[in-house]
Amino acid sequence: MTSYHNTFPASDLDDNSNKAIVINGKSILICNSGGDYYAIENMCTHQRAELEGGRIRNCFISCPLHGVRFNLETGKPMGQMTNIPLTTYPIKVSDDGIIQVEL
Amino acid sequence: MTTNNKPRQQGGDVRCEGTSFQDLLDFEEVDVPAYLRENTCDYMGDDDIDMSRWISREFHDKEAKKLWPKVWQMTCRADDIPEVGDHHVYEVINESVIVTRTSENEIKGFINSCLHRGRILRDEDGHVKEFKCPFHGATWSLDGEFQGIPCQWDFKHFEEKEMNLPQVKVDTWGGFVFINFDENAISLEEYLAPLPDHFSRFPLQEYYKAVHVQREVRCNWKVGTEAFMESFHTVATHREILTFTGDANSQYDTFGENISRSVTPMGTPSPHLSGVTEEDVMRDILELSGRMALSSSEGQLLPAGVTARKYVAETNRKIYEEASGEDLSDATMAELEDAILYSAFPNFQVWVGYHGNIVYRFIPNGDNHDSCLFDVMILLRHPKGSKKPDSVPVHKLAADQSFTAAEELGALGPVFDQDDGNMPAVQKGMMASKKGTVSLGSYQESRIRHLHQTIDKYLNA
Repeated sequence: MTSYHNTFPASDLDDNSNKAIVINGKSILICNSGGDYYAIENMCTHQRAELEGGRIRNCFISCPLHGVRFNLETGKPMGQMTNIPLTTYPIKVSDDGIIQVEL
Repeated sequence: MTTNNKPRQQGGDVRCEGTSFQDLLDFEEVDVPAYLRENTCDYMGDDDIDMSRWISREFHDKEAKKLWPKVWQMTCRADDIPEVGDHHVYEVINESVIVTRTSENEIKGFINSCLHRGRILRDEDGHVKEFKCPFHGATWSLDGEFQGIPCQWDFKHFEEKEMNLPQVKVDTWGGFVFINFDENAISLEEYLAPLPDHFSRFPLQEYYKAVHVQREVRCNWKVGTEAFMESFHTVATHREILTFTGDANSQYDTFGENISRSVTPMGTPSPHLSGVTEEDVMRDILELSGRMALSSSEGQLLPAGVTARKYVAETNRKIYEEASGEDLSDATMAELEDAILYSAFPNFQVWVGYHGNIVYRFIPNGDNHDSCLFDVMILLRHPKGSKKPDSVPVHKLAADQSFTAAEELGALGPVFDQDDGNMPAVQKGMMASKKGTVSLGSYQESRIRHLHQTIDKYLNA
């Protein structure tokens, strides 16, 4: 049974930035791309590197280790280094501005 | 308008009857810039051209060996790689180059191949802090300087080798990044002349890329390029735009070896039609051209005594002024609405204009002589002083998708679909031909002949 978990205020996350948070023992990366928020697993499917700190542009995050790019919305990778998509999680911003992730 | 001291012209002086582009310039109400008054298409003859140039593997191999390694080629917009570490992987036939921003004002091109075992260093566009080969971890800085490899003890011999990444020449014009594999190549500026001069009223480096669509087209790259080098095909391929397109009255010019242009008057009916009213012209150009400021004729009424050409130009002037925040009172009607399309050898094509300039590029699709990639971009203005919008990422369509699937192309989508109805069919028909040669219209298809003459200069060098 999944439920929405409060994380932190949306105003804490600048455009094109990301922040990892642990929910139910899992590291989830919350991302802001152009004012839209996304939640993905914080682990590259290529070599299990942490994605936190990876550069975000145009709804894509680049893994800091080898630069593999993932679509934040679908989790789908680009290029040949991995074909495995990231897990993505439903996300919303509550009425009082808190980012909530469903897990 | 030909003068007596002009060298012999292609097709002699025979041109379509009716109002020429030069005649239309006489109706301009502002000063006509000199580049529009140029009217030159030197004699090139009318010999048939052998179809092997488009369909043979051997010819493709010759181009791979003698043409692509020598020409300046457009790779991306500088805005596509805005930050240090951003890069675009440019591929042509079997060549691969990492076009990288190495500092705020510098872009370099590195051969995309690891100096250890040869794996490509970057699989695709993106952003990195250094180039680390995914295979064994050999690493280079963004400047191409060798940083090392794991188990350095096993690579003592690397100390005596040139381990910095080999580079290609890089230069920019109009916000486009060009590369050249030939270290002895002439400068980009010299290569493109007189194009930069002709575009001095259109600072394309200040425009932003608002649309970028790429799709495979199943034909040789030249079949694709040539589809945008003449307006003669409009009468049969794009019949619906004839009411506002002076197709057969287009002007075709060549400038040196690398540059040519076609100028197709818009807002004026085709000489193929009769009885077209000014209202017809206005309605259709707004609805169907795909590159006017308005995309609907709704609510637009032609004031008495005003031509559609003038009306559309004034409408565009107003909207383009708003878009750019600039005074465009000295812009000619021609520059506000005509199809003035330049090509730079071998495969870069760009429209003149103040807003909504279209860019085409056809490039071989890998090492295939019968398949190419078609890139279309649209460059827009943003008001002076406002932040430049980001360059959009490329929208790659699947080979079987209609161009209308890229909604951002608007009315251009159906037009490209019509062209796509011909391009692979031309390739197929040439394979089936027993005649074995292509025949060209003397004047209207002169730019295609010009393209092939320049190709020969490279292949015979």
